[in-house]
Amino acid sequence: MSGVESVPYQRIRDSPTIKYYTDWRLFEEKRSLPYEEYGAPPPWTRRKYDAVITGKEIMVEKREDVLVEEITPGRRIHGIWIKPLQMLPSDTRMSLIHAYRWRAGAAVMIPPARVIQEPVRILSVGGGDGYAGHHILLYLGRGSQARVEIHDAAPEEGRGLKTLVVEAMLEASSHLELITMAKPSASSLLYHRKIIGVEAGGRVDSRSIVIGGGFTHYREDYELRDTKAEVSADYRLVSSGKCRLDAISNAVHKGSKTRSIIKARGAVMDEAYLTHRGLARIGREAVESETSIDSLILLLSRKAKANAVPMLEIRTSRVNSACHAASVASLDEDHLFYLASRGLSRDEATRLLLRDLLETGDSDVNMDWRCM
Amino acid sequence: MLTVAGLHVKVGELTILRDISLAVRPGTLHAVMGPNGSGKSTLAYTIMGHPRYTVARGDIRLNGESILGLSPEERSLKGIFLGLQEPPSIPGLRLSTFLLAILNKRRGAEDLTEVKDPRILRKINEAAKIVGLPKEYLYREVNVGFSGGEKKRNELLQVLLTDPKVVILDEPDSGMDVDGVRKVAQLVAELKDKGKAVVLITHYARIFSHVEPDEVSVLYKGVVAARGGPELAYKIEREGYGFLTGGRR
Repeated sequence: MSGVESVPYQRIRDSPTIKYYTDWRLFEEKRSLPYEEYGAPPPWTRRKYDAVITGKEIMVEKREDVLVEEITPGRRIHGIWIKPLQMLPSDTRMSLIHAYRWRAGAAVMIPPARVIQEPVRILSVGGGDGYAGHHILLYLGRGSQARVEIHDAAPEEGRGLKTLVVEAMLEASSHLELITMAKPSASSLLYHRKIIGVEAGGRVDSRSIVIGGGFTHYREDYELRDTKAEVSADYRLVSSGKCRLDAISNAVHKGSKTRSIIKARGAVMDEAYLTHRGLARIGREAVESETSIDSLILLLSRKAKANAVPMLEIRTSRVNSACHAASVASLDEDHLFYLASRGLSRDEATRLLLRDLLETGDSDVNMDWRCM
Repeated sequence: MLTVAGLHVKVGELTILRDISLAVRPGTLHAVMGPNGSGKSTLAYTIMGHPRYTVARGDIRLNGESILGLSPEERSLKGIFLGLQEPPSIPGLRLSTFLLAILNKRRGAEDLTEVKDPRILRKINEAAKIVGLPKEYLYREVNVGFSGGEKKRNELLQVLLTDPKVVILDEPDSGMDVDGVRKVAQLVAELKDKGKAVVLITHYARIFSHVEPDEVSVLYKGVVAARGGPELAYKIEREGYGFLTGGRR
């Protein structure tokens, strides 16, 4: 991996602040772990999957309505639809490490104008006793629609490192409903990155439920490339025990009349740590665009730590709306007394809060989340 | 019946209440009055079992049984309700979920948010209508962005839903407009009629022009400084609390 040392883990442009919220030393310590052969899926991964990626292996179930294929580094498939990687390997040190080391992956292609009824489900398991690097490519042809569910899991007692990079390209007027459920083990490290480009009139509705591991760096970058491209990204973030989670959502508006809505709800308890950073950057050409970032994190114990860092970067004077709201609120003795005075124990009150905070409008997702 | 007997209450080493005794019978309204800092809210919190307050001496009994060893949730489930003067906001928790949970807890449901019987939702909606809390507030987070009056209405809504034996209302009329005060008084009268033991804590006697107390205890500097019937509340309304100190306050 020559040249890795010269690339930083984080660039100033990646974050609303120059502070490091991810403890990159932990990743540095594990970046050279040997490959793991197989990771046992934890019990919460209970769906029938179209692709299962574990260790260095992938198993794919063929489907009639959508193309799901194995990909490996350096192998070009369906050149007409796999565009060059949007992520530059030199982006950050972890992406470079991923680019060098990932060994198994899946590509999903939705042909133009095709509407896929049955969700495409992908399971990625890694971070058990070594390193696992997985890569997923999603392509939605012009005017197509699909729902893709990615379950990002680790073996239960895992202590390794996993990198999972998802690159998605949405052609004009396509619609992707993207559900991600990520739960590394309490001692494993996860670098989860999404890079999603959206062309004119395309739309992404993304929902992520992330439960923090030993350290989880969960980053999504959306590029709204042309007129009326839209993203709505909704995060439910939980960190407990001694878990640490740094979640980042970046929306870069390049086209006019583009729209981004970023909403994060988080809960942090015990001695855990949770950060949500949201950045919306509206470029000079992105006139009449709209953006909103709304981040709320609940502290459920005195030793828990949380940050909510939203930021707007606007380079045009013609913006329809741009707003952000962020708060870190705590449940103190008085809150708990209030709930107790209504007959609810501390555990019940916490469960209730978590349930309301984390439930999404999607009953399938809620069912999966309760199993996590 | 709620009985407080010879109660001494401390916060840390500081004694806040001394030798407080009172008895509230079912179907009666007991007014606890007193100037700021006299210990009224401390008494309410202590009856409910707030961990900040330590009972150094005395007892609190519900229907003859001491509740001192019970947690706040156990006291609540035994039938004691405390409507707070300043109920906290709970971001992240929808009011409808919260109300459903406290109702389900009382019927012993395992899943506190299940809706087994749709009548439960109707009951919540009807109670909200009675206390004058708009239906859309049920889908907002508990007390987040509520005005003072709306928070009080929410407390009263919970009284109606949980049907307690003893209702302690800590300044339910503060932050309320004239119509709101009348509404609180009407609800208190109805609670009395239903046989509830009601303790109403207030600075002012204005609410008693709509519902008359059966007994009045006046706290001053942590002790019961005066006791009487409704005439004591009217005296305070006319003359203030000066009579407790001979005009020096």
